[in-house]
This record gives sequence, structure tokens and C-alpha cells, in this order.
Amino acid sequence: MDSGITRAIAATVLNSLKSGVVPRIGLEYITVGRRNEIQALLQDVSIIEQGGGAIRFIEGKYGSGKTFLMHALRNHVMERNFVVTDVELSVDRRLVGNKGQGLATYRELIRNMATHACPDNGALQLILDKWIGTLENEVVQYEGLVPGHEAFDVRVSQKIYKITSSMEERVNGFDFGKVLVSYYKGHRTGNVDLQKKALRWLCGEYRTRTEAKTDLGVNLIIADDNWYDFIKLFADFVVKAGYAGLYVCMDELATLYEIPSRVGREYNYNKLLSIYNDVLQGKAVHLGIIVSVTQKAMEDPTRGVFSFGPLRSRIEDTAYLSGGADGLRDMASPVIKLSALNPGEMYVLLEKLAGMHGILYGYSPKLEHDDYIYFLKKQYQKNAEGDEVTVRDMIKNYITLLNLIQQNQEVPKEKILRADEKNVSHAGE
Amino acid sequence: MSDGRYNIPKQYKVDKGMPLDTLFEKIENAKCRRVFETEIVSVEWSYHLVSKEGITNIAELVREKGLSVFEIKLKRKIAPDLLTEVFAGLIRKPMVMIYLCSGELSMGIFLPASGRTAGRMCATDFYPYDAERMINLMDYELDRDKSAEQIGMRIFSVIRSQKRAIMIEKAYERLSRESENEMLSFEFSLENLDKIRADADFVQAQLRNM
Repeated sequence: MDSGITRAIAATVLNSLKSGVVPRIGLEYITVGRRNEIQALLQDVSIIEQGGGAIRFIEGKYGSGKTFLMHALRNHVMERNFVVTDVELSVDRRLVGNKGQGLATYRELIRNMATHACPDNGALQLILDKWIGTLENEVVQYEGLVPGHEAFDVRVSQKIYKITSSMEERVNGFDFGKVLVSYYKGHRTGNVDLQKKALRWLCGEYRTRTEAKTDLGVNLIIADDNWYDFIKLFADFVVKAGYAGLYVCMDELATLYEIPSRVGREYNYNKLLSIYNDVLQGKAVHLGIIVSVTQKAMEDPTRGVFSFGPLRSRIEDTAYLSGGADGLRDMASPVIKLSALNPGEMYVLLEKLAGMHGILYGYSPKLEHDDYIYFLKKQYQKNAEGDEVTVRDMIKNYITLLNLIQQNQEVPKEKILRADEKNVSHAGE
Repeated sequence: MSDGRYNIPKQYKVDKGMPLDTLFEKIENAKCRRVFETEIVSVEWSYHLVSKEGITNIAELVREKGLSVFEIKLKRKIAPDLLTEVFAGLIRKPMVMIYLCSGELSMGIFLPASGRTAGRMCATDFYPYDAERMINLMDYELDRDKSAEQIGMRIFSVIRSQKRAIMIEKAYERLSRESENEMLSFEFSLENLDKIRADADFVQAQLRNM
């Protein structure tokens, strides 16, 4: 087991996994069998750092590790000085909708912005303050002016305007820049109210243009039809504010598959198409998007993403992959298909979790080679018998087993390991 | 004891346990006798299908020629072919044998030589007891107005086709199990596990590198 795992990390990881949810931290210690996928995603991250854009779909069954992979990447890019944000799509949060579901997605994305210094969401204000602070520092460091000097504010303002005007050429960039300037004005003059109004606008919380015009002098509000333009503007802006880029994680695209009306689904797939085109055509800079989706929600020809022809033709496997080269994987494809962890990979994962359990409770786990194999064979046997046992279920069972063994050290581990067998035979009787 | 429920050659419930000691005494091969004495729990003569209607007592019923159905409970699985052959030698009359052991069942049939046809015998391997693969002894539509001999022939052909299906399934299961075992022994080999550990360490290092 590698050093660097603290008891706090071990506790978070084990408790989250035991509850069937993906932990927010410590994922790198238990990432097993995803070398190719991680390599491909890290390649994207390098491209985004250098000013490009990337979009990937992570396709896999429920419990196959889609969210896990997304969170592992999220944590990694956050450490690489990215601004990261995530949203779990749902009935109320879609890409577009007639009840403001698109805007709700945007709001969630802004609310969930996180950085290395502010890893638990709500980082927007910090990003803005850091941006202004960096510019002020530059003025102090390179121009020898100190705060309070009559030219200090002028120089900082000039820098601010230089940045915001460079954004004006982008769609909706003029108003976006204007609001940033308002935030700066509030900062400079100590007008907290103005700052709050600017933040409200950036968070997409203005309902009418009139209100926005009155408060901030802009003719535009963030709404269902334009929210993605502002994500692109944020990607551009965060780089100007000193970050490496913006990384957006969208979980549960399957929600779109569940929209009952065909028209509603198609609107959403159309939005997804424009995001896809934008990112890959180079219209979005320093922006990475990763979307998780189940196989059914992706490939179902009647309701899934593939029901929308233009998207299907872009992201479907080519004849080489679906035909002759079956079994080979193109990791540069927009869709990364997550296969289930194979037994060997599960074995190593179990080892790692046992190690973490040992760190958390300060003992040496007694499980040995044959015990891991026994446990895994039992789990796979359940699958063979028709019970759907996902990686998530196996891990939950395993952590329970570890807990029982640790809490009952006087009981032979074999007895605990075989307890589930007894239950099965009782049920059979 | 009789039960004339069906408008086909009559199926009478016999419900008569066999005196096993007496029955097995007739087995000439000592080893075979020992196996039967040790592994067979009970033999029950459950039904007797006869062509004649209106039988009112069991004495009359068992004297009547027909097709008997025996239910045999086993402690451990014995080859159904052997069981059927030995029981055929002991009982020497048309019969269907249902062997039950550990939640699985197997069926055998013996039709002794009659005037025109040679004797026939067939048995399936054991298979899990489930409705889908249950062999219907009686098919009331098909067997309407058929004689017990004709019903015996029909059951024979059903058992023979089931035997083939079960054999194929068992062979396939064995093949899958073997390839699964091969796959697992590779998966859990130290070499493979070391490779996976090295990959995981590499990924961990990459994810932790800024």
C-alpha cells in the first residue's frame, strides 16, 4: 500500500463506498484497471491546458465506475490548477427545457465550481477575487505602485478592461465583461451590494432584462437558450484569471433518455450536438467536458442519444471497430466504453481496500490470496445465477465483510467469509 | 385406491412403497446390490396407467397390464442408466422411473419387448427440478383415447429427446466451467496480478502528479 493515505482519506473512501456512493477524495489510491481510459482523459487535459477543447462520453452500466472515473479526473485536474464543476442531470436539470431546466443546470454548474484552494464548491467569488488580487499584485510588483496611490486604481482598472474587452468579440462577451467590471467596481469602491448583483447575474439568477439593466447596465440575462455561451466565456475567463482551464463533469445523461416526449428529447440532443460541435471545432477554448451515460441511454435507437441522427453519426463506432477490429478499442474516440473490471482487477481493488481498512482501524487485515479468490468467485457465481452484481455491489459486500472480520477477530475469518453461503442455502431450503 | 379423473386410459394412483430388502435381494451382482442398498432411500409405486376403465380396488389394478410410474429417492446420485437397467431387471414390466436426489431429478423408462417391438430403455441425466424442463408424463390432449402402450411409446420418445437436450446442456456447462476456470486461473495468477498492480501504481502516480 502506498504511503500518503491518511486515516481521514481511508474513512471517507470506505464510508462512501460502503454507502454505494463515489468518494470525493482519495480516488487515486483505489483506481484499478483503468489505465487506458485515464491515459486518454489525461491526454485531453493536456490539450485543454494548451488552449484546446475536449468532450468525452463515458459509457457503461450502472455501477461500472463512470462516476468514479469522472471524480478521479475532477480531483486530478483540480490539482492541476483547473476550475472544475459538475452537475448531476435530473428531471429538473437538463440541457434545455420549457421550465428553465437548462438554466437550472447552468446554476448548478456555477454553484459547484471548485478550485484547488476551494475544493468543496462555491468557488466563483474566490475566482473573481483571485483574479482582481492577481492584477493588483502585478501592479504592485511590476509597476511599483501601492494601493492608495492615485495611479494604482487606474492601472488595475486598465488591466481589468483589457481583459474584459478581449472577451467582447465572443458571443455575449460584451455583457459578460461588463458584469465583471461591475464586480471590480464594487470591489474597488467597497460596494458589496454591487458585487452581489454582479455575482447574481453570473449565477444566472436575474429573471428579467429590465432588472439586469437597472442594476448592472446590461441588456442581457443568462437564460435557457444561451447558458452554454457563458460556460465557454467562463472557460476563457478562468484562464485569464490564472487557471489552466474549465473542466465540466456532467453525470447521468440517462436523464435525457427518460424524457417522455420525443420533441423534448430532441431539443436536448440538439443542444448536446451544438456543445459537441463547439468543443471539437475549436470554438470553445480551455474547456473540457466529460459526460457519463449508460449504454442503453446512449445506444437505444428509439430514445437514446443514437436516436438523434446527427449525434449518432458523429459518435458511433466506425466500421473498423464494430466490424473487423472488434475487441480493439480506439481511445481517441469520443465515447469511452467502460467494461466491467475483470476478476484480476477486482482482486487488486480488494487488496487496496483491505489496506485502507487496515489504515483506518490500525490493524493488519487477515485476508489472504485464497480468501480474495473465494470472495470473488462467490460474487461472480451470483452473477452467473442471474443476480446482477455490479462492482458497486461487490465493494459494498466486501467492506461489510472487512468490517465483520475486523470487529470479530476472535471468530475465524473462514466462518465469516462463508456466512453468505449459509444464507443462500437457508434461502434455498 | 384409484382415481378415475381423466377421460383417457386410466391413470390410477397406487401410492405403494416397495419392500426394498426383498426387492434388492434379486440383484445378482453383489457390488451393485450393495450400492442400491446403501444409496436408495425409497421406491414408491406412484401411478399405474392402464387401458381398462372402472377399476375399483388396488388388487385388481396392480394385476392389470399397463405402465407403472415409480418415484425413487436417492441419497447420492447414481448413473440413471444403471438405475434403470437394474430396476428393469427387477421389475420386468413397462415403467417410468423418476429419480430424485439433492433437488435434481432424472427420468428413465423401460418398455419390455412385446410381440412386434424390441425392448427399449432410456434415461436422462440429472437436471435441476424446474417447471420449464419438467417432462410431462401425461399429456391429456395427446393421450386421449390412447392405450397405455401407446402412451409408453410417447413418453419414451419425450425422454429420449430430453436426454439429448440435457446431455448437450451438461456438456456445454462443463465446457463453460472449464474455460471459466482457465480464465480465472490466468486472472489470479501472480504474474497477472503483478501487472495489474503495476498499472494501478502507474495510474496513481499519474493522478497524483501535478
